[in-house]
Amino acid sequence: MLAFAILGAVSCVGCGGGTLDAEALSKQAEALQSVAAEGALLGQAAASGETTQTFAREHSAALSELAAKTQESLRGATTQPSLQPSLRRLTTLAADTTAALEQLGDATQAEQRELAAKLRAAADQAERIAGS
Amino acid sequence: MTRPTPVDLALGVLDHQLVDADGENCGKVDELELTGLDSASPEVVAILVGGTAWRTRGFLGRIASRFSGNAVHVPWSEVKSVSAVVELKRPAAELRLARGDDRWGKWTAKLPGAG
Amino acid sequence: MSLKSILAVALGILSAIGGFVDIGDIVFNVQAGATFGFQLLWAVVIGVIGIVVYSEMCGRVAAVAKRPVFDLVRERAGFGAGLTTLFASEVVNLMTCAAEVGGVAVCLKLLAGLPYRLLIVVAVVALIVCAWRLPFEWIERVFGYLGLCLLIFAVAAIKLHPDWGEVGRGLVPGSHAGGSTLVYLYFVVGLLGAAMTPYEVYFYSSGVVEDRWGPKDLRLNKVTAVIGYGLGGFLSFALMITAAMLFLPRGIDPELLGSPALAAGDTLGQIGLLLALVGILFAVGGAAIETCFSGAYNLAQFFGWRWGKFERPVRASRFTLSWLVIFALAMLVVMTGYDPVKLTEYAVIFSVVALPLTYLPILIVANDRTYMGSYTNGRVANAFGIAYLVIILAISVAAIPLMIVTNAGQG
Repeated sequence: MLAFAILGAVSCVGCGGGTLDAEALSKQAEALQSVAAEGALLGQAAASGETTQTFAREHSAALSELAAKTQESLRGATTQPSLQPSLRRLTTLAADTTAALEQLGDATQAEQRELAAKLRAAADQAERIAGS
Repeated sequence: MTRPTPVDLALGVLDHQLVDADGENCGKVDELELTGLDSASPEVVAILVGGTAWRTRGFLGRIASRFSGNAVHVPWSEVKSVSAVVELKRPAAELRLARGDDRWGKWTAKLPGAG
Repeated sequence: MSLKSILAVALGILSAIGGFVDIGDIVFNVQAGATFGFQLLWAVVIGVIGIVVYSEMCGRVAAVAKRPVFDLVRERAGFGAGLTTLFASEVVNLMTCAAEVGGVAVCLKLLAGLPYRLLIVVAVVALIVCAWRLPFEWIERVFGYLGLCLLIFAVAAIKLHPDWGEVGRGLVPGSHAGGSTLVYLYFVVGLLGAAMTPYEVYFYSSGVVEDRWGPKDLRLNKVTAVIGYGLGGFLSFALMITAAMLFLPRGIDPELLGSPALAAGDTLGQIGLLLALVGILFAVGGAAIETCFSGAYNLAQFFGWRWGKFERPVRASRFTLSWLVIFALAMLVVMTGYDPVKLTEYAVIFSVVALPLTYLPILIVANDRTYMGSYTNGRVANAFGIAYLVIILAISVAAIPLMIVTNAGQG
C-alpha cells in the first residue's frame, strides 16, 4: 500500500495543467532543454552515419514522447502575468521540439542535420527560459 | 558407549533442513512435538512438517498456516542423525514428505524436456 | 597451478566482469555522470568493495557449510524473521527482474524496431528457453562474455580525453561542487544500492553449492570475487565518465536506455553503438535470469523444497514452477507499459531498504562455528563486514525519504 502511495506521489510531477510558479516553469524548461539537446546529439550522430536507421527512428520516437509529455504539461497551464511570455514561448518550443523529433527518424541525412540544428537552437532557447 | 551429546532443540533442530535416506530435501523441521514436559524426562515425540505446524511459530506463522494443508507427523524414531541437517532413515515418499514436489511434478512433467 | 586451472579462473573472472553490470548500474551510473560529472566515482568504489566483501563471505559459507546463505537464514534467525526476509526479498526480486526484462525489450526495440509488447514476450520466452535448456556454466559464459561488449564504454571514455586529474579527484570522497546536496546523496544511495544488490550474493551462494565447491576452492572464490567484481567496477566507471563527458556539458538528463548507447555511437560510430546495445542487452538479460532464479532459490530454501538446476525439473517441481512463475509475473509487470527505467530506479531504492535484512544474516552465519568450523570470518572480514553493515543501515533509512524529496533525482 505504502509503496503505491509513494510511487503515486513521486510520479505525479508535471501532471498536466495547473498553475506553474517560477520554479516549476524553470523545471519544465530544463526538461525540454534536455530532450532537445539529446535530440540534437542524435540528429547530428544520425546525419554522420554514426547510428543505424532503426536506432535513429526508435530513439527519436522515444525522445519525442518525452517532449510530448512536457507539451501536455504546459498545455492549459497558467502562470503569473510576468511569466506569461516565457510560458507561451516554452509551449511553442515544446511543440516545435516534439515535431522535429517526430520527423528525425525517417529524415534523410541532410534533413537530419537541419533538424539537429533546429533542436540545438530550441535547447538554447529553453535554457534561457530556465535561467530567467 | 559414548555419552550422548545434548542437542539444543531450538538452535540445533528447529527450522533445520530435513534430508531423507536418498539425500534429498524434504522440508524443514517446522515444529517439534514434546511429551512429558511436567515429568523428569521430557521427550521429543515427533517432528511436524508443513502447514498447520506453523500455527505456533508466531504471528506470521499463523497467517502462513492458513494457506497450507495439514502438517505431517514424523515420529522421532525415524530420525537417523542430527547434525547440520536432520537425516531421516527412510525415503521421503514413505514418510509422506515432499508431497508438494510430487503433486506439482505432474504439472511440470507436461513441459517439454522436464525429464 | 596448471594451465587448465589458470584458464578456468580467467574465464570465471571474465564472466564475473560481464555479469557485474545490470540495468540498475547502467541507469544510476549514467545519470550520476550526467548530473555530477566525476564527483561520484568514489561511491562506485565503496559499492564494489562492499559486494566483494559480502560475496566472498557468501561463497565461503556455501563452500564450507555446503548450504547456500539463504538456506541458513531461517535456521539462524527463526521462522518469523526468515519469512519477513523472504517476503521482502521476493518483492524486490520481482521488481528487479521486471526492470531487467523491460531493459531487454527496450534494447531489442532499439536494435530491431519491432513493437515493444511483442518484444517483451520474445525476451521472456528467449530467457526462459536459455534458463531451461542451458546448464549454468553456459548461461554464465554466454551472458557474461557478451556482456563484456560493455567494454566499448571504456574505449569511449578514453577516447573522450577526460581530465584524468579530475577523474582521480572523483575517486576520493569529498564535498561536491554545484548541484543539490540532496540529489547528490540520492545518487550515493542509488549507486551503492545498484552495486550491492542482494540477489547477486544469494545467486552466487546457491551457484557455489550447485557447483559443489568445497573448502579447497576458497582461494579461487576470493580471487574470482575480488578481480571479477573489481574489474566490473571499471565498467561502471566507464559509464559514468562517458556520461560526464557527453551529457553534462549539453545539459542532457538521460532518461532512456538508448541514451548511453547514443553516447557510444557519437564517440565511436555505428560499431560503438551496436557493441553498446549488445553489451547492455546481455548484461541485463543475464541479470534477468539471475534475479529470477534468486527468487526461486529463496522460496525453495526457506521451505525446504528440493531445488537446483542440477535437479530434473520433475523432481524439483516446486522450484521449477517458482522460477517460471516469477518470469511470467515479471512479464505482466512490464506489459503494463510502465517505463523500465523508472521501474529500475524504484527497484534499486527498495532493494536498498531491504539491504540490512538481507546482509545481516550473511554476517552472522559467516561467524558461526557450527557451520563454518575453522573458516569463520577473520578480523579483516569482520571489520569490513561490520563497517558495511553500518553504511547499509544508514542508506537503508535514508533511501525512501531521499527519493521522495528529490523526486527520484530530478531535483
